[in-house]
Amino acid sequence: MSAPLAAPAPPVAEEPGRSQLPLREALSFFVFQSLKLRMGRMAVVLLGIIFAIAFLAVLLGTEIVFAGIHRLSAKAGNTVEASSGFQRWWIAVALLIATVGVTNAVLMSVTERIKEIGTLKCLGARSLHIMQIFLFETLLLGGIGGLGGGLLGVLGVVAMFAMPLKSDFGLVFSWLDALWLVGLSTAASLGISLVAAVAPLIYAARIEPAEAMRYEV
Amino acid sequence: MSEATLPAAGGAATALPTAPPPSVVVEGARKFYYMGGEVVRAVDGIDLTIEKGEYVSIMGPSGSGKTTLFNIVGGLTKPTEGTVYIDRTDISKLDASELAWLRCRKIGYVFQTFNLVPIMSALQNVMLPLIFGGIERSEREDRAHDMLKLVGLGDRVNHKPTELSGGQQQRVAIARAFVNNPAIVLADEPTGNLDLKTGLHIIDMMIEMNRARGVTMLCNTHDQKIIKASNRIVWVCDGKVERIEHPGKTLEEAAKT
Repeated sequence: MSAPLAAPAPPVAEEPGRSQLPLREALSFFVFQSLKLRMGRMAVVLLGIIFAIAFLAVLLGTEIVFAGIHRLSAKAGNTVEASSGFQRWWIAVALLIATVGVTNAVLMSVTERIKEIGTLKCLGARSLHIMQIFLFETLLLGGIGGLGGGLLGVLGVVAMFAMPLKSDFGLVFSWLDALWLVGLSTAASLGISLVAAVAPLIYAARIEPAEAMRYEV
Repeated sequence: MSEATLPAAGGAATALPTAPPPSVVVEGARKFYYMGGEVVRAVDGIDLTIEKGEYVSIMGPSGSGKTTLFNIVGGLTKPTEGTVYIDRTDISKLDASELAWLRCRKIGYVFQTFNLVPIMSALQNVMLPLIFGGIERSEREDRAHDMLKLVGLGDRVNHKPTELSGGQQQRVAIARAFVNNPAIVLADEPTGNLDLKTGLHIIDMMIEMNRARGVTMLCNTHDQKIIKASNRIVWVCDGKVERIEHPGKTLEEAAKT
């Protein structure tokens, strides 16, 4: 076999290797564009996270403030009843609801993109890359939600206690406490996002390209 | 990637001594599905050798096992029995990540439904295989641009799929399939969703790509024009090869002229 067909054949990569998806491309090609496209729904999920985390932050902040009051009154020789552990139940419920909300959002994002996932796998994406894309999406959502919720929670604590406690407020709730609260909220939010993403991520990784191609949305 | 050499008795025996090894060798491929306790023999013992640079069409009634055969050759489905060699690599011996690499660098896919990623521009879609293939950032955009120019979409690189017509979307898909210089391109009913005129355009483009780049083509189609242009037609029925036709010139004949 000589002339026209064999001659211009381009070299085919023979070297063994692994397909890859660098972080920059994962974010710019997939995560940001996808969040932009699904902005409406993501905003609703984000609001859910923000409120759940703000609730957590307010309750934790209240405990800090009560502990402070307790400390001040003990110094002054008075006794004030400590807050009850009952509130922690409410925190758990709020976080659970937020987790379910995030799981649902990611699962929807995966199912409406089954064909896209199949295509990407045909083009060389590994299951790991698909999981990466959805994990980053969820963590971005969780991070923003946690930060927003933490800040909202701090505002809530200030609104609740700054007026009645007047100048004492600075003694029971410092800037450091506020910062700690925002940090804790963000960490909690990232934590629940991670938990929420596990099931959808496994589902996305298991999608077989051949089946995904036949899938009709 | 684990390489397995062809057995001596493989289908390569028909090739000329100087010819490159065949692109695809399918040996005794069977694929069974289990549905409600019943065995569906989607592919029931197919042997097929496709030479490098050959243009092969698969024909057959729907439900004949065309798509399953196609998926087996494309490394999308593992056969229940039998072996498939792509460029001398036994793909049944590959793990998931090696298979992904094979799909990325050796195989290009063109689908009936185009399957572009909807949130990405034409250029980004064509860049995807280059990203997965680990091509340098600086090189990617140029190559994707060149490819889109080649399919006549040089002025539409930033359009999203929804802003393109069906024919234009399929041209982007062709650019995407060929951009990594694959050894073989699989086209599953590439003109099935297009009108006649646009379909002809797409066919011409694929034939041109096959001739100019020496890329092996396996095309699953009903289109008469593709059939006339192919080196061989493989008729599949009930999961078996019914007959093989040579409508045009065979590769050897074409090489002599």
